[in-house]
Amino acid sequence: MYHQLYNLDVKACDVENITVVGKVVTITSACLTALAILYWLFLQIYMPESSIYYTVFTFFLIALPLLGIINGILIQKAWGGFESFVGRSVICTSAGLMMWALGMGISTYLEIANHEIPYPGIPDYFFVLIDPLYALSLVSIMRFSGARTNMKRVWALFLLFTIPLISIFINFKIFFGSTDYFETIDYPVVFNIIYTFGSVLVMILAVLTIVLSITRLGGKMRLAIYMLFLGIVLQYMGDITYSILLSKDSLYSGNLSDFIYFLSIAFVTIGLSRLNTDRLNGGNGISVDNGVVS
Amino acid sequence: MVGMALVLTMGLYPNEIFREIIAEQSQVIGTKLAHARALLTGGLTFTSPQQHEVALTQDPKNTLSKLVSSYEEIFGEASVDVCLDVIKRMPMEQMSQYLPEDIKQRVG
Repeated sequence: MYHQLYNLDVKACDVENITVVGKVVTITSACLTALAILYWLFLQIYMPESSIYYTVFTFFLIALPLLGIINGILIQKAWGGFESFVGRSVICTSAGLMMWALGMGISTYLEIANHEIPYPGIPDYFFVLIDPLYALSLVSIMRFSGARTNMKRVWALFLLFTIPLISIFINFKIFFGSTDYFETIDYPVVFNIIYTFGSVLVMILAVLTIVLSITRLGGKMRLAIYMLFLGIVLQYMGDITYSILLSKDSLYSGNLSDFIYFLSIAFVTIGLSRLNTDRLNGGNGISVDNGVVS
Repeated sequence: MVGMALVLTMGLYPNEIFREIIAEQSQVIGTKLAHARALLTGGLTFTSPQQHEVALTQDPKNTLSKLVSSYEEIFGEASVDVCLDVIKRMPMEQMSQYLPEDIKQRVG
């Protein structure tokens, strides 16, 4: 059965299938998140000697982003895909999750195969794209979160000037320490600069978007957007933790930075699932009743 | 010539208000959802969906109020801001008669 909805042919079975798949993905994401948290706590409490137990945690860092990508693909359609700001933010966020899954997948394979993971290696070519993609998502979110309304106010102009400066200073101190770091410019240093540039961009946009939107953002999709914000902020916290652990030579699979990254992915994935337009009164305008679309 | 232009312009309202708001919301939330939320008001139908052209079937003030409320459900005041920004761009003297009181106060 077909229904012509503004030149968009909608099959009744398509609408039903998307809703069922979306629900399955959302429930699976929630269960996987709970399981991963319990497993990480198990690792911290019992501290098993075999490294395989810690490598298992990285599979959560692959599986959850994949579920998030599926959710993102399903949900962006209802928001008009690239046509709309919301659609673009969903697509860019999903692409960020894709980079996570790909980078983590390759990194885990190399670890299991006992290959040395060079820096920068193939996984880094994917990881380095996460922050820029999240930044693009935030740029789109700024267009519909009410940030533009507050941007006309005097205090917003003050923030637009000071937050970038503070962000650059903080990130320079955390990731480089001093200008001595740049005495030798080699491939790892270049990659660190690219990573840090992404972190700076995300921090600036995240802080600005959150502060400028907080008095305007509401409605049924507010929690979904706040979960995306929290996920992106946790991504940044994960980067800081990773740098600190790296400097202390304390990196291993399933460490604190991996846990923070997992929480970041969890909030982003569940936030995306909550952008389901079926949650609106009247849904997205397409209803299916006994196979008849109206 | 000027008189004819004025008559043509006045004839566009209030439909143009709805068309512009729906067009703007389409850029934010997508055409499909923007149209679906507009139809939920029960006070309009689409005569040309591609251009967001509508025909009002009920009182314009009441329908406009419902339209803004329908979008408000999505992102709250942020969605209302999108509607108000559109209204602020339009000539107030020609369309104020079609604006509900609460929207008139917010537009200023």
